[in-house]
Amino acid sequence: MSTQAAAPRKTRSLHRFANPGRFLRLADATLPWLWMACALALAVGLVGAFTAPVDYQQGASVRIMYVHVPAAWLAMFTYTTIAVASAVALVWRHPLADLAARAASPVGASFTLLCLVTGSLWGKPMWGTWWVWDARLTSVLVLFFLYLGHMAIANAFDDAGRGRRAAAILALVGFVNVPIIKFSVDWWNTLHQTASVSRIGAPAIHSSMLWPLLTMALGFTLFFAAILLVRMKNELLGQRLRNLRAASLQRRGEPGAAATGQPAHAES
Amino acid sequence: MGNELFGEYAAYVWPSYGLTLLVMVGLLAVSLTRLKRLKRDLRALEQAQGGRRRRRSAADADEEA
Repeated sequence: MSTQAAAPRKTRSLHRFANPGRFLRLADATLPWLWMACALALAVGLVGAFTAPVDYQQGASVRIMYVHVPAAWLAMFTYTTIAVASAVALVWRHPLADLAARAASPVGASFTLLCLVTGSLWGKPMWGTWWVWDARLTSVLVLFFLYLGHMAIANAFDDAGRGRRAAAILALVGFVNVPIIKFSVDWWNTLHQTASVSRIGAPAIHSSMLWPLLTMALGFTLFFAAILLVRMKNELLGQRLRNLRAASLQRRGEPGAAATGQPAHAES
Repeated sequence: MGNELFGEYAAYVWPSYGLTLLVMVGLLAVSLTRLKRLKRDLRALEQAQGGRRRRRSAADADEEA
């Protein structure tokens, strides 16, 4: 009985944020604080990154870690966000979840590319090569292609609804790659080192290097949250603009005016 | 900090930070420019539709008179 009652309540609480007007007001109120916190975390993290001691083996090349590792975490975190948003959109047909998935995809692709390039820039002096086809590097490259596929497929259909559903299914199927990335260094013999921070027991990294790394990761995550809100606002306003244009054309009696393919949301 | 900033790994460290800056500023610029453009277009369209609605209701009022 209690489980039957819990499901509609959960759906109701999810749909409280489906109202675009409420979402826009919440985003406008949150964004200045997010940007300030992001700037502060990145500033403190950068000072820490350039004042932390150099590694006794890697020398100053260890400073690449402070941007490479947060980019890698964000690449996986963004894909996880897209997968969760896609599941919510498919199961509960939450309109903002679809927008979140579409808005996050280019951000995730950018940070995955950043992770690959900075990893390459570290690999050349440390491993003696820009690239190896080891499990970690290859699975991150696959993640980058998944992002590109997600972006392409969402816009590949004349019917925008079908495009969104196909992209959501791709996101869910592709999510299998995220644990593969995480555990690739344990499951296979890779050139890439195993986890240093997120492992059972104490992190294998000295606190003087750990705090700048975690602060930079926080800054990157806050940047993601802020840019996602801005891009979701863009998606909402773009949708509203298309609907207004279609309504305007319809009033003039022009053909094809109703073919926006966008769900009509209540604006407030 | 010291000399290692410009040491043997500078050619790898600085491009990493430069690219990070480029990605973040690029994402920010693209997203904010689009937001600005959308707000401008929406305002223009809403004003045009508001004007048309006002003219139509004025014309209706004239007809009734």
